[in-house]
Amino acid sequence: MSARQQSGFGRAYRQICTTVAAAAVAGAIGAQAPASAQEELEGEIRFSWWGGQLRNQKTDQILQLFEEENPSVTVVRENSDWLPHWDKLTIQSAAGNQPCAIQMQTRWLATYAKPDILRPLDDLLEAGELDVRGIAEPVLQSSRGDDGQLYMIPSGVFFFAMMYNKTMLEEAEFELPSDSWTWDDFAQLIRDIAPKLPEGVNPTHNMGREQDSFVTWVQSQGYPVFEGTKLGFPEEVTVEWFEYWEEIRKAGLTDSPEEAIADNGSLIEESNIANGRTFVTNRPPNRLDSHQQVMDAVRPGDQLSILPYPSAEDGTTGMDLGANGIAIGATCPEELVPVAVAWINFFTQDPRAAAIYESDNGVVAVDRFQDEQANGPNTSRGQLEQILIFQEVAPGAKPINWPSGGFAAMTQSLNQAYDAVAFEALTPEEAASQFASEMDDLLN
Amino acid sequence: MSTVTAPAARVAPAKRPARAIPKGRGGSPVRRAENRAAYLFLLPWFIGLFGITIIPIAASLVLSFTDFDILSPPSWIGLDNYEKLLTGDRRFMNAVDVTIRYVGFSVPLILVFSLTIAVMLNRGLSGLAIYRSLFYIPSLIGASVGIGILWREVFGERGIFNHFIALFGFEGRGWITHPNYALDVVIALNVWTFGASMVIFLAALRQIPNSYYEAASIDGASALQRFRRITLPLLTPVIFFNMVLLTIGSFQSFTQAFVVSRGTGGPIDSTLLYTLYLYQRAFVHLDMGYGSAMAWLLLLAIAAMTAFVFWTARYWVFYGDR
Amino acid sequence: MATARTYDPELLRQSRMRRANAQRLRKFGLHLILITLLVVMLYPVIWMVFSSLRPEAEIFGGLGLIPTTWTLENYRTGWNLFGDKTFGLFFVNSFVICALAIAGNLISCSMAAYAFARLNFRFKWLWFSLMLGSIMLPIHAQLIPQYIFFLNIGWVNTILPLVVPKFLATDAFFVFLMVQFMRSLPPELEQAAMIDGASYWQRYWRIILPLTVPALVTTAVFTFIFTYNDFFSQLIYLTDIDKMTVPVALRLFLDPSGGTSSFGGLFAMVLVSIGPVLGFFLASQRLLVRGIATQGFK
Repeated sequence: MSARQQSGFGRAYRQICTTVAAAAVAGAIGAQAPASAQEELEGEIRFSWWGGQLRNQKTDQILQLFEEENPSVTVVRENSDWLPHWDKLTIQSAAGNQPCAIQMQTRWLATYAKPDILRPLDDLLEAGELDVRGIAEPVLQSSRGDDGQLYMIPSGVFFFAMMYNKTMLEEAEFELPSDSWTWDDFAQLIRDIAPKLPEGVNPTHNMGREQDSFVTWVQSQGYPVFEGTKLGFPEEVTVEWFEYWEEIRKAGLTDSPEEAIADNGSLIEESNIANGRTFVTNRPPNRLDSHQQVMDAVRPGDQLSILPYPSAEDGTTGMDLGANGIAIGATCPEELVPVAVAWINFFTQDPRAAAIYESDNGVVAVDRFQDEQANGPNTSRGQLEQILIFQEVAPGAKPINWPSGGFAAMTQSLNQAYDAVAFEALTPEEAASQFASEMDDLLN
Repeated sequence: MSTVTAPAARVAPAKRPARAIPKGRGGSPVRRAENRAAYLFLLPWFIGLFGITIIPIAASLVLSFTDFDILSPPSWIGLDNYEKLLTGDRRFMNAVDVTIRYVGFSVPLILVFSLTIAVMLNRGLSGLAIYRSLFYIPSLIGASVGIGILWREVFGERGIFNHFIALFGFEGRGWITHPNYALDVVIALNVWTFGASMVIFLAALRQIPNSYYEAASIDGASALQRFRRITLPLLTPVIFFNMVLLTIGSFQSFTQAFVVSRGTGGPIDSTLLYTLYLYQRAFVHLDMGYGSAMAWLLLLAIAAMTAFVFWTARYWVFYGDR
Repeated sequence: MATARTYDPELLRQSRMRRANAQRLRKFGLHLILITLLVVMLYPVIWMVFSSLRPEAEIFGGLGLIPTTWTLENYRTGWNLFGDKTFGLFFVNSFVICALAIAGNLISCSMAAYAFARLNFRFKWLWFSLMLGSIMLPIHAQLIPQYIFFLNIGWVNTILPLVVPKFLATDAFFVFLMVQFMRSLPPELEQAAMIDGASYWQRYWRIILPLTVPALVTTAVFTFIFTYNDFFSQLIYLTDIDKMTVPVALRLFLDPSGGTSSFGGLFAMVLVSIGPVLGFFLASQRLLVRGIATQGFK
């Protein structure tokens, strides 16, 4: 890393710190600190979450702290990886046996946000038992169900961006695009940089089938992704998206259709970007460090970085924003609800918990911890960049109001439709109409 | 069939005595005793059937006539699910097509492959137990979570398979993620785990009394003749068993396609096996009523097919008790 | 055959040698075929073995099959997956379930199979069809009613839903398997015993069971493997981490939701976890041989 960059970061740092501090003060004034419940908590609750080995260890550590502080409380750990977490929750909910504390995500919330599945939290919030100090209002807003009730307390905020190989960019002697770059700028950059990239490197991953990129495109055109349970944008928007990527693909600037499918959702260690086989792609920005780790082993010296998605010609940005958080199961006995509440407060608001978790599942939702983590002595470059970009794009973000099942339907229908285009089985028009009718079928 | 029963009669020349248990009316004491004994032997199974097995099966039948999103109570909609499946579901028709191709290739390939290897491993070869165990390893890890990664290492764009065919000047591709070839990879994964059928064949080969082969050797039969006239007829009950269960099992195959396609059944639904689509409908899109209807259609199809195989069995399966 | 009628000792010796040579050549050829087949089939496994022995960071990136740095680190981190809960605990949990499942299947399935294979009774056809029919309905359609049922009788988060059904012959696969083996035994076997006045139980226990050892061993092996790998039931019925089993634990190494995965640990533990199964299989093969050797009829 050059000295120039470092100072650049340093400047941005301080800037962020002041804004964040200001926001924290504002937050503290807005919401008074909850009355600290002094009576001793007791009982056994179940907490279910998803994640791999590393996240399990962190969560377990935080749980141990929580149990130390509340000696009469036991938390039964129910952990599994991503898909089984939802399958299990669905089955448990059908039988009325869901855990007291459940990890939730805004993209799936609508499916479960029903008073007999999850417990509405507004009364607990009003009574000052749940502590939401420092959580931005839009994020809290996205944790509400269709019925307007609050169903989860966000703990980490995730957003979407592009990940690119900074070293390749510099070696090709190109400039980082300006903040307000457009989709055309992106296509132009790809075309220009292609001949200057190392042999065998794809200028870009084909994002035609990528749901994260597509919704950003849709929103940057000024349309909402959903209106209720219907798509909120006309078919032409999809057609243009498909055509945009077909043009780039046919110019030989993307990975092959097979490769694009394999790389979509591949584990970090297998991914093309981390292995230096792609110049730019869409990957979760909160995973920058993990990608860099792999890259350090495979191509020492190369540096990965993240940048916001392009916007429309008129400067409209379209980024989606989501949150992971914790919900309370509707079948949780009333006497155990305080325990679940205490656990949620501990997990989201306790500085030790935040320090252990290190924004592992999205940028920590409470702003004073963002500040702390950005300034922390052990903060990694990836974590810092993640927080910086988050602060930059969060104000303009448009969190999608996912209807029940909308996320799964969107991912699947878009994959299918674009794959058919890329393998030249359907024209962009046919695929777009198939996409629309499939969505309609799945959501209604 | 005479070609099957005749040689068997020769190796077991003892004339079958008259039926030991007289086929009397239901009232005969012996018959009644046997009836009672049978039901006693079946008692645990009956308890299991009526206490455990039949409840979810019956429930799923009822649910197939409802609109049930799992998270709210079901509502009765009659035959709507079935009607939609059979008339207006493009992906369903595709799943049926994919599954038939999958079963049609997998089952015969596994049968031939596992029987061949089992017969090869039944000879007096040194290191037999080791061979058997090694051939069985794929079946042990076939359902394991890491298997998707292993198959990408083999059939992915940078996999060993492409390196291999490059030696012969062929151009590789990402076999797993190409709609024209992905199903072949899933079938290959299924055939790869042929170990279970092989083990059953081996056990059956072990059960053939040596005296049969000795008798045949004295008659001067060649190895091929011995295989055709003794081994094969005596194996028919187990060939039949493997065939029936492989068919039932392959129609319900899930893990193979799930692992290879990361649960999507893609690309472009080319690996969307029936149960994978059922799972997506029931658990991803939370349409359990629809999923249940799919399950019952599959049950009917498998039952019809099994009944047909059972009917053919009388012409080619040889049992010791007949 | 011509050679058998020749009395010239020299010719006889030569022909014997020729035959011995041919035999040796055939065996060599057989070994060659089998080994080639094995290498092709087991390539992914071999890749996994080498990957488990190299540093985590070197697993991907096409650095060749053989590691440059050898390490057992993956085995250590994999074993200590979850703080103080090691794989040792998960193995014990898995083995307890497997042992009970094997006992249950051997007893209950062989009893049901004896009735179906060797006895005549009313409605046999109907019951047999029901038994086979019960394995034709995809599991995904049954999961939720089944879960609700087990929850209502208080069995969730115990091993009972995984074990008790095995004692009630609910695995139709094995009933059918044993039916096929029992049916191929000649009927004369039981007739002598019947004349001696043996009861049905004695005929089942003393005559049929000992002759079905290969099927019983096969049932034991398969029950072990099916139960050992039964990810989904164990996931939903044993939610408490203290009761976690091997297949559920193996899922925790990878994080498809975008987190950090531990491939080295996964590969190491997959290999460690197939160890017991392979051992069980090898032992059962020996049992199979012995079972045949002590078989009554020759």
